[in-house]
Amino acid sequence: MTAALDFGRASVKIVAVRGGLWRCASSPVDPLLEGSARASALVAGAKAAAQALGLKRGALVHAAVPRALAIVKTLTIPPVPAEEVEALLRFQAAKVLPFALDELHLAWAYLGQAAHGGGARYGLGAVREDTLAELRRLIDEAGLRPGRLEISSQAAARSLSALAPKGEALALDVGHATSDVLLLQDGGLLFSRSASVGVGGERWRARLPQEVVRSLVAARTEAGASERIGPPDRVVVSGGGAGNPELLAALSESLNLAAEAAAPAGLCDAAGAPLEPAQAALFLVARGLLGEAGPVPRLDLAGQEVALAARRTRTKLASGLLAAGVALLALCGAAYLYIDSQAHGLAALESERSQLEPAVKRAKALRDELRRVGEWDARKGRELEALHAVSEALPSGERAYLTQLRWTEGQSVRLVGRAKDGAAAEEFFSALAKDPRVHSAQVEQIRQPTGKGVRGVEFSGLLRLVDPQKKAAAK
Amino acid sequence: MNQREKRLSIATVVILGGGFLFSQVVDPGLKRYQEQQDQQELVESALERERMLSSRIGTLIKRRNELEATLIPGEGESLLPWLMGHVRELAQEAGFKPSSLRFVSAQALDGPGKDEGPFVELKLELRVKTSAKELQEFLIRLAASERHLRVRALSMTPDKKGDQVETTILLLALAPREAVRGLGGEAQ
Repeated sequence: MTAALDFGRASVKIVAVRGGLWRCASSPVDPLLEGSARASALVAGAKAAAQALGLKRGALVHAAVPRALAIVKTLTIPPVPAEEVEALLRFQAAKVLPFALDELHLAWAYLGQAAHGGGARYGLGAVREDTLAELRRLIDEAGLRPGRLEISSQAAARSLSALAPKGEALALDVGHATSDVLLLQDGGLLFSRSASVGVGGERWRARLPQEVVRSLVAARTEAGASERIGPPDRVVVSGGGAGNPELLAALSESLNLAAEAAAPAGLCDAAGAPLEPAQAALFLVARGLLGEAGPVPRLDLAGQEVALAARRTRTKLASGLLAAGVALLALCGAAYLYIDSQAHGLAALESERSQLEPAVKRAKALRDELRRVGEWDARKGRELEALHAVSEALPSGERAYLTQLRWTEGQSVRLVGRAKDGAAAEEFFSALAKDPRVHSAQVEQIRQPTGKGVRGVEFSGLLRLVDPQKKAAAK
Repeated sequence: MNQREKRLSIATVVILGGGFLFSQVVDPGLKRYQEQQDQQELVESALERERMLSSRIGTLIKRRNELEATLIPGEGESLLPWLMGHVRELAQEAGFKPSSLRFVSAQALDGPGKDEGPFVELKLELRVKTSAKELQEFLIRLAASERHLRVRALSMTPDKKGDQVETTILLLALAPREAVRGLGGEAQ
C-alpha cells in the first residue's frame, strides 16, 4: 500500500490508496511547539495517522517538503546532449541559488522548449541537505520508510491541474503559518512562492490578500504574461483556509473574483466515508504526491539523489572494472613475459647441457671403467677366505683331513676328506657353519671306506661362503 | 530490456568472459609455468650433477692413467709374457716353481657378447705341486699384488704322504681391450 505524508504546521496528513479508495487521516499538532518538542509531536501525529489508515511499520510513504523550505526556479539552457544537461544545470543553479551547491539537494525536470529561440526549459528544485535529513528522520522515527521527497507546491499543483485544467488559475494553499501561492496556466504550474502568512496568525485578513495580489503580479511577470491585467480565470483555495468563509470573502473582494475551495475529488476518511470539501482541501498536497505526474513533472529530491548516487556508483564501478581489467591484462602480460624469460633461461640451461655433453659422456665412461675395475678387484682373495675357514674348522688332533678341495668363484666349495669317525666329520662341518665368513656348510655324505683295513669314515660336503658384495648391497 | 535482464546479461557476460579468460589464458599459462618450473628444476639438478662430473674429468683421467699402468706392460713388452712373468715371480717368492702355466682364453668382462666395454679377462691355468704353506704364501702374495690378477677357481688334492698338494689354479687377469688384440680366442 502506497501512502503520502504532508507535515503541516497544525496537523499531519496522510493519504493512502487501499481497496480502490483514497483514504485520508490527519492528526492535529500544536502549532506553537518548536524544536524537538515539535519534532516529537510530528512523529506522534504521523504514527497516529498511519495507524488510523492501517499502515504497517516500514510502509513506503512519499513526503512533501514545505515550499517555504525550498527554492524553485525555471532555468533555460541551450540545446546540449543529454549527458551535459546536468553539468549545465548545476552551472546555472550555482549562479541563481543563494547557497553553495554542496549544501543543497537538487532536482530538475524538463518542462519543454523555450518560447523564444532555442533551448530547453527545466524546472529546478533545491532544498538544503539538513532539511531533507530532518524530514527523513521524522519519517523513520514514525516507523515508516521514506519514498519520494517532493516540494509541496509541485504536489499541490498536480492536484490542482485536475481541478483547473484550462485557463489561468490562481491557487492558494493556505496553512496555519504560511501560504503557498501558485499560478497555473492550462493545468501547468507557471509560478509558485511561499508567503509567511497564514490563517493561524494575526493580521492575516489584511496581509494575505495583499500577498496574493503581489504574487499574482510577480507570477505574471516571471511567466512572461506581464501584459495581462485583471483577475485570473479562477481562484481556488486549499489547505486549512479552504474552510474559512472570511478568507474566501476577503480574497474575492481583493481579486474581484469569487474564490472557491479546492477539494480533490474521491477522497474519503479512514473508514471509507467521503470527505466534506473543506476537509478534502486539507489533503491537496498529499493527494498530489500520489497522483500521476501529468502536466506537472515531479521534482523528486530523493529519486534524483538516488539516481545521482547510482550514476556515481556506476561510474565508480565501471572505473573499478576498467582498472581491474587493465590490471588483469598487465598481470597476464607480465606473467607471459616472465614465462617467456623462464623459457629462455631453460633454453640457456639446455644449451649449457649440450655443450657439456661430450665431457660428461667421457667422465661417465671413465667413472664406469674405474668402478668396474674396483668391483673386479674387490673379488680378489676370496679363495683365501675359503681356505682359512676350512683350516680353522678342521678338528684338532688330526681327527679329520681333506683329500680334495674344489673352489670356484661364485659357487659352493666342494670338500672331500676322511675323519676318525662320523662325529669328527660332523664337528668339522658344524665348526664351518659357525664361521662368520660361511653362509652354509652341509654334509653330503658320511660313509665307511670300501678298502679292507681302512679305518675311519669318508665324508663329502658343500660349503657356501658369504658374498660380501651381495651383503653390502643388501644393507 | 529491464534492469533485471540487464543485470543478468552483465552477469552472464562476466561469467562467460571470466570462464573464457580462465580457460584460454590463465589456466594454460599456469600449466605452462608449472611445466617449465618442473622442467627447469630437473634440468638445473641434472646440470649441477653434470657440472660436478665434468669438473672431475681431470681426476678421472689421471686415475684411469694410473690404472692403465697396472694393466698393461711398458713399451716393447707383450702382455702375456708380462702377466706370466709376474705369476712366476710370485711363485718364486712363495718358494716353488709352477709345474705349468698356460694361457687358456680371453673374453670380454662380464661374459662373451654381453659387453662391448673397454676390458677383457684373460684366463691362465697354473698347475703346481707344493706344500700347503707355500701355496698359501702364493695366494696371499697374489691377493696383495697391485696387478689385477685373481683366482677364479682352485682345486687342491693332497698327495698320499700329505706334505705336498697338487693344485690347479685358474687365474683371471684384467686387461684393456686394445692390449689383447692379436691374442685370439674370445678377446675380440
